Amino acid sequence: MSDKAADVVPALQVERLRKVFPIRGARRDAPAEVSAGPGLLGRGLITRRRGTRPGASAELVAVDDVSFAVPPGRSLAVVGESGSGKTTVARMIVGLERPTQGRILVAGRERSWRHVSSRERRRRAREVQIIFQDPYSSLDPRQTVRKCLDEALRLHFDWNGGRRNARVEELLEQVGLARRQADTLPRALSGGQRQRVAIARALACEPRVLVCDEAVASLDVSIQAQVLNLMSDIRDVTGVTYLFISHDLAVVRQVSDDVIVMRTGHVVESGPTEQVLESPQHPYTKRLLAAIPRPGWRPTAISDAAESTGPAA
Amino acid sequence: MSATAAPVLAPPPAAGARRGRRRSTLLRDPVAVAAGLFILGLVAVAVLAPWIAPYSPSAGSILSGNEGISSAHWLGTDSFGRDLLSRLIFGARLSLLGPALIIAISTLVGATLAIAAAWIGGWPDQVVSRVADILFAFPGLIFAMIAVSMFGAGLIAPVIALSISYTPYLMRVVRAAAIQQRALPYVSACYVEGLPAWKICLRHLLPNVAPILLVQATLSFGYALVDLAAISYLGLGVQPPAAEWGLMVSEGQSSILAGHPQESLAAGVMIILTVVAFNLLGDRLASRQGMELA
Amino acid sequence: MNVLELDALAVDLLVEGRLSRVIHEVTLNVAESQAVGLVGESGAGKSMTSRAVMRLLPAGAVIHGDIRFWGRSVLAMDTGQLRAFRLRDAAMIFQDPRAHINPVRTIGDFLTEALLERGESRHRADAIVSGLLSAVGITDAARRMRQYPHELSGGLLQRVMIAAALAIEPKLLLADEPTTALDVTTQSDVMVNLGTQRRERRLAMLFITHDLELAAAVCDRIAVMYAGYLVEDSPAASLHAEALHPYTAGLLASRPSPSARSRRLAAIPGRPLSAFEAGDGCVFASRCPFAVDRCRAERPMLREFASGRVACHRVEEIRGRLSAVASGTAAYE
Repeated sequence: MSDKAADVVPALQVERLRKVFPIRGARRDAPAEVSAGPGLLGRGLITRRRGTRPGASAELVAVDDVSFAVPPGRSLAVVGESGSGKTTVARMIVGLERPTQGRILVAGRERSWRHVSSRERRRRAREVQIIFQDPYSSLDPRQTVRKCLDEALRLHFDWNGGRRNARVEELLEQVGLARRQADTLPRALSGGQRQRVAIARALACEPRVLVCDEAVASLDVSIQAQVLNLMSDIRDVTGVTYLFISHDLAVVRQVSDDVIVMRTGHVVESGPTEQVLESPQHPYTKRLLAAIPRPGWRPTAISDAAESTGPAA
Repeated sequence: MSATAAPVLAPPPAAGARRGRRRSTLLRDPVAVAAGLFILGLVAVAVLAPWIAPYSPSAGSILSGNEGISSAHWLGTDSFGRDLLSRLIFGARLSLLGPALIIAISTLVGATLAIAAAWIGGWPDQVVSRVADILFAFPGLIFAMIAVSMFGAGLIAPVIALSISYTPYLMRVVRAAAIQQRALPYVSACYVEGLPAWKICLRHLLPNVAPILLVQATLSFGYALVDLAAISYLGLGVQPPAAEWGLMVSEGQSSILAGHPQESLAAGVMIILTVVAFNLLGDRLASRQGMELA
Repeated sequence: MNVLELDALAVDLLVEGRLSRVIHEVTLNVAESQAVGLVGESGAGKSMTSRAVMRLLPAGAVIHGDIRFWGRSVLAMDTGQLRAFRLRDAAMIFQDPRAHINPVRTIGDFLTEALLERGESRHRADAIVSGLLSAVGITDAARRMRQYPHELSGGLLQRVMIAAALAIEPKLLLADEPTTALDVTTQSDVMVNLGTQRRERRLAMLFITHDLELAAAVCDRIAVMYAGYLVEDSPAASLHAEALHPYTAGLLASRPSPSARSRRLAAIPGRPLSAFEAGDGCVFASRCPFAVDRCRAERPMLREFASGRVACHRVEEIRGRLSAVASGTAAYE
């Protein structure tokens, strides 16, 4: 979000992004009551469509009016708790969800979400890739590491087997895996190792933008540090642009240049990471910061809204 | 299915943190091994029938009808004087071929429809599911009988009819498993990677639902065998003088009261043993994958 | 006398037909009103330890050593005594509340179950439970008690679990990652509440978590486990200034901070080992930047040092360097 952003075409830009999920069969008085489990339901705003009678289907606004731009080579973190809509934003950017409204532009080129052909999808894969949170289910359990990476290479590059093999080994080395692990199945690998494979797979497509959806949240602390270092190395080498989705402000401080804070679908604060975390303006950002365990910290009661009303907590 | 309750499988829990080694324990399971060997043996016998069987299945004279166990005829003879052992051996061919065809067809059609429906979702999925629901309501045997009445007795009409009636069972199980797999991030990763939908279905969904598909197919084989034997027993399937177990049960019926149960008994026992073998194997495959036989 | 004493506790689990040791001779005490944090990464054995206390281990598990509650051996209890122990003396809070509550029964049923088991009248049980719900910060108790688990958010449900645990007025609380599945703001609230309740009732608590900073903030002592071994047991207050074991220092150093960005995070090389992967010598030797030959050959025993206990041969020598590492002023090497 620097002043010079206007000159450079952003690697990734979203404008007024909005996503609404219809909920079939929800009760009219759903808002206060429905708070079933983690995720969108119960945390977002459930509203009744205007003009419909009570008892008709309600809708959930998961993302409302979100805009940001990421210059090439920078990294932006999208921070929020469950139900903030941050994961939905990521999914819309990579094409797993269709926006209800708004625009998504990658390298200045708008991505339409009308029917996307297979060929178009393949082309887009060279622009944006994603790494998911759960290393235990983001790899095909029946595919060896080599086959997994090779599949991506075959799809995008017209190379012979030898060249592909060489690239597979290059990728493995880049993510810190041993060559001999190329022919293992995911079940022989630890969580951290699987996540490295997922990173290698994403890099195989040589994307401009890498979306990391809570990519280190499920990892042990010592492994998390390794993977965060790895991501920063990758940025140094490839110049890729990162979009980090995270609930963890400490991780965000470590990896991102800029940050936007989301809550129930809206952006409540944005700016350079250092600035936002040193002097947060919005009360919610302050609350988030105040809640992170760190040296010298003690827990404080900070959640708003009494438990009996609203979908908070 | 028609005569007996259909096996309903609950799909296994989604591919979670199954870390660590998981050696093939199937080979260490004595029941599974015994059942598997029995089935393999049966297939070998069926294939090698002309070389193994002591007599031709159609050779015999009424004069030596209904003889008991002897050194010449290890299981005795049927009412027409034909060697029972030979007829059992040759009978394995048709008795196994029919169910094999049924399972092959219903698996192929069922799995394809199921995976496509699971991937596409929306109204195509609804249509396929409703059609399956309707098919579920039709008893397979009745369906087969109608087919026979329209197209004549033999193997073809009942096999096709039963294939149609077994397809929804395969389909339901595979569809549930495919939907579960589709929700996992690795499928999303393939999608974002740019892999075409058909490749995702073929290279990723299919191999991951194959285990549950195999279990359902194995279990259904036993039921198909019984259903087809019932058809033959009713005289609507394979026609005499062909050797087929269901037919033999029927043909041997009149001899039972006369004190010569060997034909019906022998054929009946073969049917039971084969069905049990398939059921045990299927059940062991299922428990190895952590599924429940509901 | 301590509320809880783990005396050379060792646990063997049945893995693929063979017994495999997952917890190696853990000796740990929890005094009245004291909170001890049991911290470690995957495979450390911390969760298994708390289950051992409640004797909730999987079939075929073998326990060695002893577990004592106010001096009485838990392992020697018969069925009736064990039931009384679980019904009156010790309570457990699990990580995922939804997996540990019956979805087809109301919250009220769930909360009053243990009390009714103990012979309280329905009227009195309801009154106790209402009081508890307000104590954990849930207003409108009457309505909540009629609701089903799926109608409550994760944070609310975890508070209900805490209320359930407190309902039986236990002397010992075993909390197994109680806030890991919650948002960080909810976590803060829940921990405040838990802390208040604990102090009011003088409850002893064994708090299991992978989050060292959280444990340091809410517990009096921190016990660090690695690959089934207890490697350090120190006062929480001095942990940051004086981490005794290289693993603890590594954990502290590898955590990023919201207040500053490191040029490069100090990462412990390799990956956390599971208990059955431990060989001879110090279990942490393969990843330890301070390891020498002695460490690889001879397993260090847990011994008293400074204000805590540590299992390390070189603790005297590397003391100063560990403090620098833990505070981020020195690299982990």
